[in-house]
Parts: sequence; C-alpha cells; structure tokens
Amino acid sequence: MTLDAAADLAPVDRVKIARYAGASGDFNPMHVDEAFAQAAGMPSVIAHGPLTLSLVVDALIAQGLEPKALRSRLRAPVFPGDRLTLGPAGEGGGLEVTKDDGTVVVTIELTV
Amino acid sequence: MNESAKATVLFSGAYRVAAEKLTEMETAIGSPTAGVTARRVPFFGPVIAGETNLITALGLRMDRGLLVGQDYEWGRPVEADEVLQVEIRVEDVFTKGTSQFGVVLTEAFDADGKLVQRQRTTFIERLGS
Repeated sequence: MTLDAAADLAPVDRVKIARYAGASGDFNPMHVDEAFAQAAGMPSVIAHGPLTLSLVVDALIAQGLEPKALRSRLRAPVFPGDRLTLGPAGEGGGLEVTKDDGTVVVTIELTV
Repeated sequence: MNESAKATVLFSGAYRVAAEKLTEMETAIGSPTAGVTARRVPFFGPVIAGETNLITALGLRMDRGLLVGQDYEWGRPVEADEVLQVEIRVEDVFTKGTSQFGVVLTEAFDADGKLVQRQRTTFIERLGS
C-alpha cells in the first residue's frame, strides 16, 4: 500500500497519554508514574504502544484508507513531546513512524 | 516469563464495547477522524484480560517488560454498546537470545460468530537485567 503523503501524527503529550490510559484502562506505571519509569531506566513515562498505533490508524483513515490488517514492531519508546511522522519505510516496503531526529519508533506492514 | 503459560486462557466471555469508552478513545486520539478510528481500536486486548491475570500468568515484570509488537486484523468496526464474545489466551512464550517473548492473542466475535477483530500482542523481557 502507499500513503498519498507522509503524515504528521497528532502530537503525543502527557494529556494524550493520560486520556489513552483512561480510555483503554491501561494504567501500567510505565505510562503514568514518572518515578517508576525513571527507576526502570527511562527519562520519563512512555506513551502506550497501542496509542501510537491508534494515531497511525487514524492517519490512514484520514487519507481515505481502510486497513484490513496491520502488523507492527515497536522499536523505540515514545516520550511526551515527541513529534511523530508516518511515512514509507524505504526499500524494504511497508511504513514506519519516525521522530523528528530520525529515530524509527514503529515499523508497519499494512494490508488495505 | 513463565514458559508453561502457553495456551493459558486469560479471559473468555462477553465484553461490551461501552459507548462512553469509545467516546473516551475518540477524545484521546483527538483528530477530526477520531470517531471513525476509535471503532477500529476500541480496546487493547491484554487489558480486558486484566492486568493482574496477565502479569501473573506470564510472570511478566512490569519494570523490565515492554510491548514490542501489536498486530491487528479487522473484520469490521465495532458498534457502540455492542456485546462481543472475546477470548484472550497466551499463544506462545519463548526465549530467543537474551530475551524472553510472550505472545497474547485476543479474538473478538460478534453475535453471528463472525470475526470483528483479532489482536496479537508481543511482550519482551530482557533476561538477567
């Protein structure tokens, strides 16, 4: 599949993480407890992987695509304030989500 | 992780996709198309299984376990307040190199027995960290 264009995902901030925790019921302390996340070696809480993927699905739907299946590999944590872009994954095909600094956070195989 | 957990059923039964939860998900996604999207990603399967059930069955340590894979297969979007038949089970637990992986399969069917959604969730835990 192809995207019409690279898509900026909705910004991930602490409010969005908190709202997703409430909506999904996923209150794993890695997502909501700063001290716990730091004790586990993270600089801060991290966004839920399914939150990032929900933003991916939303970007696909916004471009008029109807996903039938999506396989993902979560490669790096997303932190509050990260700006994410969905685009082609290069020669290997598929899609990837990157941060502004080029870090790949998710690679995706999509069926539409 | 507990490799003997393979095939353990974590949840099996009816699950209502509450309209208010879809609204909360729409708000969390927060875009003009979020209402459409929320019906594709209305829940995260392992949460339905219950955090305690999941952690106990898998033996997952929350301070060093991470989600590394999440796959979706959609039959159709969910409807608000629809009651689905959901089964969640540990599909696999295995060791590869210095890491252990646990795979949780969530399948949701409608009243006619048709697949609404399938999720496959993979956790990783580094050994010896």
